[in-house]
Amino acid sequence: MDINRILIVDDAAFMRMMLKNILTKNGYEIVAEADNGAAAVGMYKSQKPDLVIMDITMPGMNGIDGLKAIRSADPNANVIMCSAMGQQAMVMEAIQAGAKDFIVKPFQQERILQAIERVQSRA
Amino acid sequence: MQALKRQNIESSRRSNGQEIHVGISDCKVARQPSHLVTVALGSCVGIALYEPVMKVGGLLHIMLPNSKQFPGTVKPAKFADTGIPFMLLEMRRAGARLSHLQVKIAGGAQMFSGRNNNFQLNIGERNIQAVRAVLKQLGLNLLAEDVGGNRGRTMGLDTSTGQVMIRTLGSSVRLI
Amino acid sequence: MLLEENDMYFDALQELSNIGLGNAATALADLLNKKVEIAVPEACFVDLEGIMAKFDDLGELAACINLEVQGDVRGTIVFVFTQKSILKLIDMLMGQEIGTTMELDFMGESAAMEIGNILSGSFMNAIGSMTGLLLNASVPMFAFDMVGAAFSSSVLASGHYDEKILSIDTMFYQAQEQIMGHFFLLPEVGCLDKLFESLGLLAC
Repeated sequence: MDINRILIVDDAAFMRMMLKNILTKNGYEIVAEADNGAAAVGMYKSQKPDLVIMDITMPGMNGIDGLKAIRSADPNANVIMCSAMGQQAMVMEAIQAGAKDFIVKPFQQERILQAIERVQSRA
Repeated sequence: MQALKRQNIESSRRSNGQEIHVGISDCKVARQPSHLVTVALGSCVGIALYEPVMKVGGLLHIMLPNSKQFPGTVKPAKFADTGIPFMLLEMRRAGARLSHLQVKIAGGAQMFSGRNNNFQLNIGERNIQAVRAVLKQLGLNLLAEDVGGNRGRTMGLDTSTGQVMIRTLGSSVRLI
Repeated sequence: MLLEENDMYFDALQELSNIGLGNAATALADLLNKKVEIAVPEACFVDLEGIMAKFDDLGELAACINLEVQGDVRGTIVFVFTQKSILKLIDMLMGQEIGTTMELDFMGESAAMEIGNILSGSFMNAIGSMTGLLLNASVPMFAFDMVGAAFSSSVLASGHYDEKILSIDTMFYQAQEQIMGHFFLLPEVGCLDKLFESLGLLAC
């Protein structure tokens, strides 16, 4: 399956801008942005992106709960977590909840692009 | 506590129109000519008292509303409920007639943006309310105030005139 | 537990902080895509009034970023960067010439918060790895104003104002640029014990 349309979720406008720049420069389309888990679930349902890149620490609903909600709405959803918090237990929780990858901030451009390509090749 | 009281009066005798700095959880009283200044009031509240005939001024910078939660505290100037009575005593010792006081307050801002729900954003407001309540209890009338908002303030009292000057980043100096 | 400087527990805390901030410097380097070095942090335990006394000019403009630490260890982390430093950091982050950003707009504020988020994230990741404890961060709170006002309000809003604060003055260096940052940790009562226990420092 091809990944073209991406939903970016992060409470920091700055981070969303940075991700958008990297991704659009590499040919991906950002179909929507959200700044918390609840909004992310809504966007996912209405936009049906190929991939979600989601932060964990957000106000209201956090990224892990957002991930679970998206996966229960669509068991085939592709979600990559992207967070400053990278402890083993957290990574495990995210992967067990269905995340396809976990990127710790700050990340190099290549890391995120490779992560997307890996999801693409396995999907 | 006694030593602290003596120190406050001493510094006022040496003032000669100098700037006397009042820090956080601090209180200073001075006779004219002098400028009492406290810098960077955030959620803290500054209380200025002025006796216009004897020309004695006091400036108090409180951090918290109520000392009852902190038994055994050694700094009366930290709290509204203990700081204001403390300042009154100092004012009287410096020769002020407590029946003729002008009271002005500033501060109590809410300075943070962000969406963390556990952050106690209303400390500034609670300080303002506590100060107003203590003043009322002591029978002191509030003459002027510059409180609330989102910005830090610097507050100064001129003991020769009783004028209180407030400075905020990005605004011109105001007199209240 | 009463912590005295120069005792074993304080040393352990200093060492934890060194490692944590070292990791934060690495994260900053990765973020800026540049080499970032860190001067050995000086740690001390001080109350709020004591910290205010350390700032030369309480009226100086500074960015103050607060995060709450949750999980096995609870408390508040505060980063303070002077105006000059935060503007420099934002320029570096955006890949602009130093001096381009002259004031903090909405995006700059978001960038500053994210910097604080990443720095404290890597600090907590390091502590977490070393101790096996789980540390989580809250969404950051941000103020840009007179440093005395922002910092004191920060401490009061965190609710940890009746404890001693761990204050670590540290300097980040990027080539010839100095980025002065202050790092403060306000632990919740009893949480330091948990830290020390996990390091095997407390006998039962």
